[in-house]
Amino acid sequence: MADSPSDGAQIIEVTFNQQQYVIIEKLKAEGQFGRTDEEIVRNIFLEFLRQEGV
Amino acid sequence: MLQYGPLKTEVLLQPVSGKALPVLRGEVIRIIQEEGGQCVDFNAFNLHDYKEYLGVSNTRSRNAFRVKKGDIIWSVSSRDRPMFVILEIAETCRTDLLGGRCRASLFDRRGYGLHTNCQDTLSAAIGEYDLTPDDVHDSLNLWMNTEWDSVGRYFTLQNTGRKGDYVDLLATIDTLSVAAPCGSGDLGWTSNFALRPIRVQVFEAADETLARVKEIERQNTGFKGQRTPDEFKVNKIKADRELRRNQSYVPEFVNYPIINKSIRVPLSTDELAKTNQLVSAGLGRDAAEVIRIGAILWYMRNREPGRRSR
Repeated sequence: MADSPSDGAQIIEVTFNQQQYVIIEKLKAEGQFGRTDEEIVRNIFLEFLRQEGV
Repeated sequence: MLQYGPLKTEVLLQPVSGKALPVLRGEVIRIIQEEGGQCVDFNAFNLHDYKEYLGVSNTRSRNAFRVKKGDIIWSVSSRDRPMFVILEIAETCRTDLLGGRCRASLFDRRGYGLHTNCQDTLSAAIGEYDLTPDDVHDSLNLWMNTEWDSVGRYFTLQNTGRKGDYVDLLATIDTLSVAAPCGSGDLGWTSNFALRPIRVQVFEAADETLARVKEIERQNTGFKGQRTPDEFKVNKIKADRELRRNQSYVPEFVNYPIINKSIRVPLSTDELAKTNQLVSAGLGRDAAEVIRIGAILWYMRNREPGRRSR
Protein backbone atom coordinates (compact mmCIF):
# COMPACT_ATOMS: atom_id res chain seq x y z
CA MET A 1 0.00 0.00 0.00
CA ALA A 2 1.39 3.41 -0.91
CA ASP A 3 2.07 6.00 1.77
CA SER A 4 0.51 9.43 1.84
CA PRO A 5 2.40 11.87 -0.34
CA SER A 6 4.97 13.86 1.55
CA ASP A 7 6.27 16.26 -1.04
CA GLY A 8 4.11 19.07 -2.32
CA ALA A 9 0.83 17.20 -1.90
CA GLN A 10 -2.05 18.50 -3.96
CA ILE A 11 -5.66 17.65 -3.42
CA ILE A 12 -7.73 16.53 -6.40
CA GLU A 13 -11.48 16.37 -5.87
CA VAL A 14 -12.77 13.23 -7.54
CA THR A 15 -16.46 12.44 -7.81
CA PHE A 16 -18.00 8.97 -7.70
CA ASN A 17 -21.68 8.37 -8.09
CA GLN A 18 -23.53 5.98 -5.81
CA GLN A 19 -23.09 3.11 -8.26
CA GLN A 20 -19.36 3.66 -8.61
CA TYR A 21 -19.05 4.12 -4.86
CA VAL A 22 -19.95 0.43 -4.42
CA ILE A 23 -16.37 -0.28 -5.47
CA ILE A 24 -14.99 1.83 -2.64
CA GLU A 25 -17.29 0.18 -0.12
CA LYS A 26 -16.18 -3.27 -1.24
CA LEU A 27 -12.51 -2.33 -0.98
CA LYS A 28 -13.14 -0.73 2.40
CA ALA A 29 -14.54 -4.04 3.63
CA GLU A 30 -11.53 -5.83 2.14
CA GLY A 31 -9.18 -3.54 4.07
CA GLN A 32 -6.10 -3.99 1.88
CA PHE A 33 -6.09 -0.49 0.41
CA GLY A 34 -6.95 1.64 3.43
CA ARG A 35 -9.86 2.57 5.62
CA THR A 36 -11.00 5.91 4.27
CA ASP A 37 -12.42 6.83 0.88
CA GLU A 38 -9.39 9.00 0.21
CA GLU A 39 -6.88 6.26 1.01
CA ILE A 40 -8.66 3.69 -1.09
CA VAL A 41 -9.05 5.85 -4.19
CA ARG A 42 -5.50 7.10 -3.96
CA ASN A 43 -4.01 3.64 -3.44
CA ILE A 44 -5.89 1.81 -6.18
CA PHE A 45 -5.21 4.67 -8.58
CA LEU A 46 -1.49 4.38 -7.82
CA GLU A 47 -1.80 0.63 -8.42
CA PHE A 48 -3.43 1.45 -11.73
CA LEU A 49 -0.53 3.75 -12.66
CA ARG A 50 1.93 1.03 -11.73
CA GLN A 51 0.13 -1.60 -13.79
CA GLU A 52 -0.03 0.79 -16.72
CA GLY A 53 3.70 1.40 -16.43
CA VAL A 54 3.25 5.15 -15.97
CA MET B 1 -20.30 -35.53 -25.60
CA LEU B 2 -23.12 -35.59 -23.06
CA GLN B 3 -25.43 -38.58 -22.92
CA TYR B 4 -28.91 -37.49 -24.07
CA GLY B 5 -32.22 -39.22 -23.39
CA PRO B 6 -34.12 -41.18 -26.07
CA LEU B 7 -35.40 -39.55 -29.25
CA LYS B 8 -38.76 -37.92 -28.47
CA THR B 9 -39.71 -36.15 -31.68
CA GLU B 10 -38.40 -36.06 -35.23
CA VAL B 11 -39.65 -33.93 -38.10
CA LEU B 12 -38.38 -33.36 -41.61
CA LEU B 13 -39.07 -29.77 -42.61
CA GLN B 14 -39.51 -29.43 -46.33
CA PRO B 15 -38.72 -26.06 -47.87
CA VAL B 16 -40.11 -23.72 -46.87
CA SER B 17 -41.92 -24.77 -43.71
CA GLY B 18 -41.33 -24.63 -39.97
CA LYS B 19 -42.48 -26.38 -36.84
CA ALA B 20 -42.93 -25.19 -33.27
CA LEU B 21 -41.87 -27.93 -30.89
CA PRO B 22 -41.88 -28.02 -27.09
CA VAL B 23 -38.32 -28.62 -25.92
CA LEU B 24 -38.29 -28.95 -22.17
CA ARG B 25 -35.61 -28.20 -19.59
CA GLY B 26 -32.86 -30.76 -19.99
CA GLU B 27 -33.96 -31.81 -23.48
CA VAL B 28 -31.84 -31.32 -26.57
CA ILE B 29 -33.01 -30.06 -29.95
CA ARG B 30 -30.84 -31.19 -32.84
CA ILE B 31 -31.05 -29.30 -36.13
CA ILE B 32 -29.62 -31.28 -39.03
CA GLN B 33 -28.59 -30.42 -42.56
CA GLU B 34 -30.62 -32.95 -44.55
CA GLU B 35 -28.84 -32.17 -47.80
CA GLY B 36 -26.40 -29.42 -46.85
CA GLY B 37 -26.11 -25.75 -47.72
CA GLN B 38 -29.32 -24.62 -46.03
CA CYS B 39 -29.51 -21.60 -43.73
CA VAL B 40 -31.76 -22.17 -40.69
CA ASP B 41 -33.67 -19.56 -38.70
CA PHE B 42 -34.35 -20.35 -35.07
CA ASN B 43 -36.86 -18.74 -32.67
CA ALA B 44 -37.73 -19.81 -29.13
CA PHE B 45 -40.14 -18.83 -26.36
CA ASN B 46 -40.57 -19.70 -22.71
CA LEU B 47 -43.26 -22.38 -23.00
CA HIS B 48 -45.07 -21.00 -19.94
CA ASP B 49 -44.72 -17.28 -20.70
CA TYR B 50 -44.35 -16.31 -24.33
CA LYS B 51 -43.25 -12.79 -23.43
CA GLU B 52 -39.91 -14.29 -22.52
CA TYR B 53 -38.23 -15.25 -25.75
CA LEU B 54 -34.79 -15.73 -27.24
CA GLY B 55 -32.90 -12.45 -26.99
CA VAL B 56 -30.67 -12.03 -30.01
CA SER B 57 -29.12 -8.74 -28.90
CA ASN B 58 -28.67 -10.05 -25.35
CA THR B 59 -26.99 -13.18 -26.67
CA ARG B 60 -24.85 -11.11 -29.02
CA SER B 61 -23.68 -8.70 -26.34
CA ARG B 62 -22.89 -11.50 -23.90
CA ASN B 63 -21.01 -13.62 -26.43
CA ALA B 64 -20.10 -12.22 -29.83
CA PHE B 65 -21.62 -11.51 -33.23
CA ARG B 66 -21.43 -15.27 -33.67
CA VAL B 67 -22.09 -17.92 -31.04
CA LYS B 68 -20.04 -21.10 -30.76
CA LYS B 69 -19.90 -24.37 -28.85
CA GLY B 70 -20.41 -23.83 -25.13
CA ASP B 71 -22.04 -20.42 -25.49
CA ILE B 72 -25.28 -19.68 -23.71
CA ILE B 73 -28.31 -18.47 -25.66
CA TRP B 74 -30.06 -15.90 -23.44
CA SER B 75 -33.62 -14.73 -23.21
CA VAL B 76 -34.54 -11.08 -23.72
CA SER B 77 -33.03 -8.50 -21.40
CA SER B 78 -36.23 -8.03 -19.37
CA ARG B 79 -35.74 -11.62 -18.11
CA ASP B 80 -32.08 -12.22 -18.94
CA ARG B 81 -31.96 -15.95 -18.29
CA PRO B 82 -30.14 -18.77 -20.03
CA MET B 83 -32.51 -20.51 -22.47
CA PHE B 84 -30.08 -22.88 -24.19
CA VAL B 85 -26.47 -23.82 -24.30
CA ILE B 86 -24.82 -24.93 -27.52
CA LEU B 87 -23.64 -28.44 -26.78
CA GLU B 88 -22.44 -29.38 -30.23
CA ILE B 89 -22.03 -27.44 -33.43
CA ALA B 90 -20.59 -28.52 -36.77
CA GLU B 91 -17.46 -26.64 -37.70
CA THR B 92 -19.18 -25.69 -40.95
CA CYS B 93 -21.98 -23.93 -39.09
CA ARG B 94 -21.40 -20.21 -39.23
CA THR B 95 -23.83 -18.59 -36.79
CA ASP B 96 -25.23 -15.09 -37.18
CA LEU B 97 -26.81 -12.74 -34.68
CA LEU B 98 -26.92 -9.70 -36.94
CA GLY B 99 -29.23 -10.52 -39.82
CA GLY B 100 -32.56 -10.73 -37.98
CA ARG B 101 -34.85 -12.53 -40.38
CA CYS B 102 -35.84 -12.07 -44.01
CA ARG B 103 -39.32 -10.81 -44.88
CA ALA B 104 -41.47 -10.71 -47.99
CA SER B 105 -41.04 -7.06 -48.87
CA LEU B 106 -37.29 -7.53 -49.37
CA PHE B 107 -38.09 -9.67 -52.38
CA ASP B 108 -41.11 -7.84 -53.69
CA ARG B 109 -39.12 -4.61 -53.93
CA ARG B 110 -36.62 -6.52 -56.07
CA GLY B 111 -39.43 -7.61 -58.39
CA TYR B 112 -39.97 -11.20 -57.22
CA GLY B 113 -43.49 -10.74 -55.88
CA LEU B 114 -44.50 -12.79 -52.84
CA HIS B 115 -41.47 -14.89 -52.02
CA THR B 116 -40.78 -17.33 -49.20
CA ASN B 117 -39.30 -15.62 -46.14
CA CYS B 118 -38.59 -16.37 -42.51
CA GLN B 119 -40.96 -13.81 -41.00
CA ASP B 120 -43.90 -15.53 -42.68
CA THR B 121 -42.61 -19.09 -42.19
CA LEU B 122 -42.07 -18.55 -38.48
CA SER B 123 -45.46 -16.80 -38.18
CA ALA B 124 -47.18 -19.76 -39.77
CA ALA B 125 -45.41 -22.19 -37.47
CA ILE B 126 -46.10 -20.40 -34.19
CA GLY B 127 -49.74 -19.86 -35.12
CA GLU B 128 -50.23 -23.42 -33.88
CA TYR B 129 -49.77 -21.97 -30.39
CA ASP B 130 -51.93 -18.88 -31.04
CA LEU B 131 -48.93 -16.61 -31.40
CA THR B 132 -49.14 -13.84 -33.99
CA PRO B 133 -46.73 -12.50 -36.64
CA ASP B 134 -45.83 -9.77 -34.13
CA ASP B 135 -44.46 -12.46 -31.84
CA VAL B 136 -41.84 -13.63 -34.33
CA HIS B 137 -38.50 -12.29 -33.16
CA ASP B 138 -35.06 -11.86 -34.69
CA SER B 139 -33.54 -15.22 -35.38
CA LEU B 140 -30.55 -17.06 -34.12
CA ASN B 141 -29.32 -17.86 -37.60
CA LEU B 142 -27.51 -21.14 -38.19
CA TRP B 143 -25.40 -21.87 -41.25
CA MET B 144 -25.61 -18.23 -42.24
CA ASN B 145 -22.21 -17.26 -43.54
CA THR B 146 -22.33 -13.52 -43.10
CA GLU B 147 -19.54 -11.02 -42.91
CA TRP B 148 -19.17 -7.31 -42.45
CA ASP B 149 -16.52 -4.89 -43.55
CA SER B 150 -14.65 -2.12 -41.75
CA VAL B 151 -17.50 0.35 -42.24
CA GLY B 152 -20.18 -2.10 -41.13
CA ARG B 153 -21.55 -3.15 -44.49
CA TYR B 154 -23.13 -6.57 -44.14
CA PHE B 155 -23.11 -9.29 -46.77
CA THR B 156 -23.53 -13.04 -47.20
CA LEU B 157 -20.97 -15.53 -48.44
CA GLN B 158 -21.41 -19.07 -49.74
CA ASN B 159 -23.17 -21.45 -47.34
CA THR B 160 -20.70 -23.95 -45.92
CA GLY B 161 -23.14 -26.50 -44.45
CA ARG B 162 -22.67 -30.16 -45.42
CA LYS B 163 -25.16 -33.01 -45.44
CA GLY B 164 -25.48 -34.48 -41.96
CA ASP B 165 -23.99 -31.51 -40.11
CA TYR B 166 -25.91 -30.63 -36.98
CA VAL B 167 -26.28 -28.27 -34.06
CA ASP B 168 -27.39 -29.45 -30.60
CA LEU B 169 -29.04 -26.96 -28.26
CA LEU B 170 -29.69 -27.99 -24.66
CA ALA B 171 -32.78 -26.26 -23.25
CA THR B 172 -32.23 -24.79 -19.79
CA ILE B 173 -35.89 -23.82 -19.40
CA ASP B 174 -39.08 -25.24 -20.90
CA THR B 175 -39.26 -23.78 -24.40
CA LEU B 176 -41.32 -23.70 -27.53
CA SER B 177 -38.58 -23.97 -30.14
CA VAL B 178 -39.09 -23.14 -33.78
CA ALA B 179 -36.72 -24.03 -36.58
CA ALA B 180 -37.27 -23.15 -40.21
CA PRO B 181 -35.25 -23.44 -43.40
CA CYS B 182 -34.60 -19.86 -44.46
CA GLY B 183 -36.80 -18.81 -47.36
CA SER B 184 -34.39 -16.37 -48.93
CA GLY B 185 -31.73 -18.85 -49.93
CA ASP B 186 -32.82 -19.51 -53.51
CA LEU B 187 -32.01 -15.93 -54.43
CA GLY B 188 -28.56 -15.67 -52.90
CA TRP B 189 -25.60 -17.31 -51.22
CA THR B 190 -27.54 -17.62 -47.95
CA SER B 191 -28.42 -21.17 -49.04
CA ASN B 192 -26.39 -21.30 -52.27
CA PHE B 193 -29.29 -20.37 -54.57
CA ALA B 194 -31.51 -23.27 -53.46
CA LEU B 195 -34.11 -24.21 -50.87
CA ARG B 196 -33.51 -27.49 -49.09
CA PRO B 197 -35.07 -29.47 -46.24
CA ILE B 198 -33.77 -29.67 -42.70
CA ARG B 199 -34.37 -32.35 -40.07
CA VAL B 200 -35.18 -31.57 -36.45
CA GLN B 201 -34.94 -34.04 -33.59
CA VAL B 202 -35.71 -33.60 -29.91
CA PHE B 203 -34.07 -35.85 -27.32
CA GLU B 204 -35.48 -36.34 -23.86
CA ALA B 205 -33.66 -35.16 -20.78
CA ALA B 206 -31.10 -37.42 -19.14
CA ASP B 207 -29.07 -37.26 -15.95
CA GLU B 208 -26.11 -35.71 -17.74
CA THR B 209 -28.12 -33.04 -19.53
CA LEU B 210 -29.98 -32.12 -16.34
CA ALA B 211 -26.69 -31.90 -14.46
CA ARG B 212 -25.39 -29.49 -17.11
CA VAL B 213 -28.56 -27.40 -16.80
CA LYS B 214 -28.10 -27.19 -13.03
CA GLU B 215 -24.49 -26.12 -13.48
CA ILE B 216 -25.56 -23.37 -15.88
CA GLU B 217 -28.30 -22.25 -13.51
CA ARG B 218 -25.86 -22.15 -10.60
CA GLN B 219 -23.42 -19.98 -12.52
CA ASN B 220 -25.86 -17.74 -14.36
CA THR B 221 -28.98 -17.09 -12.33
CA GLY B 222 -29.82 -15.26 -9.12
CA PHE B 223 -28.54 -11.88 -10.29
CA LYS B 224 -30.38 -8.59 -9.95
CA GLY B 225 -32.39 -7.84 -13.08
CA GLN B 226 -33.19 -11.46 -13.90
CA ARG B 227 -36.81 -10.63 -13.22
CA THR B 228 -40.06 -12.51 -13.33
CA PRO B 229 -43.33 -10.73 -14.22
CA ASP B 230 -44.19 -10.67 -10.49
CA GLU B 231 -41.41 -8.12 -10.10
CA PHE B 232 -42.59 -5.86 -12.92
CA LYS B 233 -44.21 -2.57 -11.94
CA VAL B 234 -46.51 -3.05 -14.92
CA ASN B 235 -47.03 -6.78 -15.39
CA LYS B 236 -50.40 -7.12 -17.07
CA ILE B 237 -50.16 -7.87 -20.76
CA LYS B 238 -52.13 -5.32 -22.76
CA ALA B 239 -55.16 -6.88 -24.38
CA ASP B 240 -55.88 -4.08 -26.83
CA ARG B 241 -53.74 -2.45 -29.49
CA GLU B 242 -54.21 1.28 -28.91
CA LEU B 243 -51.69 3.00 -26.66
CA ARG B 244 -53.20 5.34 -24.07
CA ARG B 245 -51.42 7.28 -21.36
CA ASN B 246 -51.93 6.08 -17.79
CA GLN B 247 -52.46 9.37 -15.93
CA SER B 248 -51.66 7.90 -12.51
CA TYR B 249 -48.49 6.13 -13.51
CA VAL B 250 -45.29 7.18 -11.75
CA PRO B 251 -42.13 5.64 -13.18
CA GLU B 252 -39.52 4.17 -10.86
CA PHE B 253 -36.11 4.50 -12.49
CA VAL B 254 -33.20 2.51 -11.13
CA ASN B 255 -30.96 4.41 -8.67
CA TYR B 256 -32.59 7.68 -9.61
CA PRO B 257 -31.46 10.36 -9.12
CA ILE B 258 -27.75 9.73 -9.65
CA ILE B 259 -25.91 11.40 -6.79
CA ASN B 260 -22.21 12.22 -6.86
CA LYS B 261 -19.98 12.05 -3.83
CA SER B 262 -16.77 14.07 -3.77
CA ILE B 263 -13.58 12.46 -2.48
CA ARG B 264 -10.46 14.56 -1.86
CA VAL B 265 -7.50 12.57 -3.15
CA PRO B 266 -3.98 13.75 -2.23
CA LEU B 267 -1.27 13.32 -4.86
CA SER B 268 2.43 14.21 -4.72
CA THR B 269 3.90 16.42 -7.40
CA ASP B 270 5.33 13.36 -9.14
CA GLU B 271 2.03 11.46 -8.95
CA LEU B 272 0.16 14.43 -10.33
CA ALA B 273 2.65 14.71 -13.19
CA LYS B 274 2.01 11.06 -14.07
CA THR B 275 -1.72 11.66 -13.87
CA ASN B 276 -1.41 14.60 -16.22
CA GLN B 277 0.50 12.41 -18.66
CA LEU B 278 -2.66 10.32 -18.92
CA VAL B 279 -4.75 13.46 -19.38
CA SER B 280 -2.49 14.37 -22.30
CA ALA B 281 -2.89 10.82 -23.65
CA GLY B 282 -6.66 11.28 -23.67
CA LEU B 283 -7.71 8.93 -20.85
CA GLY B 284 -9.77 11.70 -19.27
CA ARG B 285 -10.48 15.40 -19.54
CA ASP B 286 -8.64 16.33 -16.35
CA ALA B 287 -6.77 14.77 -13.43
CA ALA B 288 -9.97 14.11 -11.48
CA GLU B 289 -11.52 12.20 -14.34
CA VAL B 290 -8.33 10.21 -14.94
CA ILE B 291 -8.22 9.23 -11.26
CA ARG B 292 -11.84 8.07 -11.32
CA ILE B 293 -11.43 6.14 -14.56
CA GLY B 294 -8.13 4.64 -13.45
CA ALA B 295 -9.53 3.54 -10.10
CA ILE B 296 -12.55 1.91 -11.71
CA LEU B 297 -10.47 0.23 -14.41
CA TRP B 298 -8.15 -1.14 -11.75
CA TYR B 299 -11.10 -2.57 -9.85
CA MET B 300 -12.61 -4.12 -12.96
CA ARG B 301 -9.35 -5.78 -13.92
CA ASN B 302 -8.39 -6.96 -10.47
CA ARG B 303 -11.51 -7.57 -8.46
CA GLU B 304 -14.55 -8.11 -10.68
CA PRO B 305 -15.69 -11.73 -10.53
CA GLY B 306 -15.69 -13.60 -13.82
CA ARG B 307 -14.89 -10.63 -15.99
CA ARG B 308 -13.45 -11.37 -19.39
CA SER B 309 -10.18 -9.58 -20.06
CA ARG B 310 -10.60 -6.70 -22.44
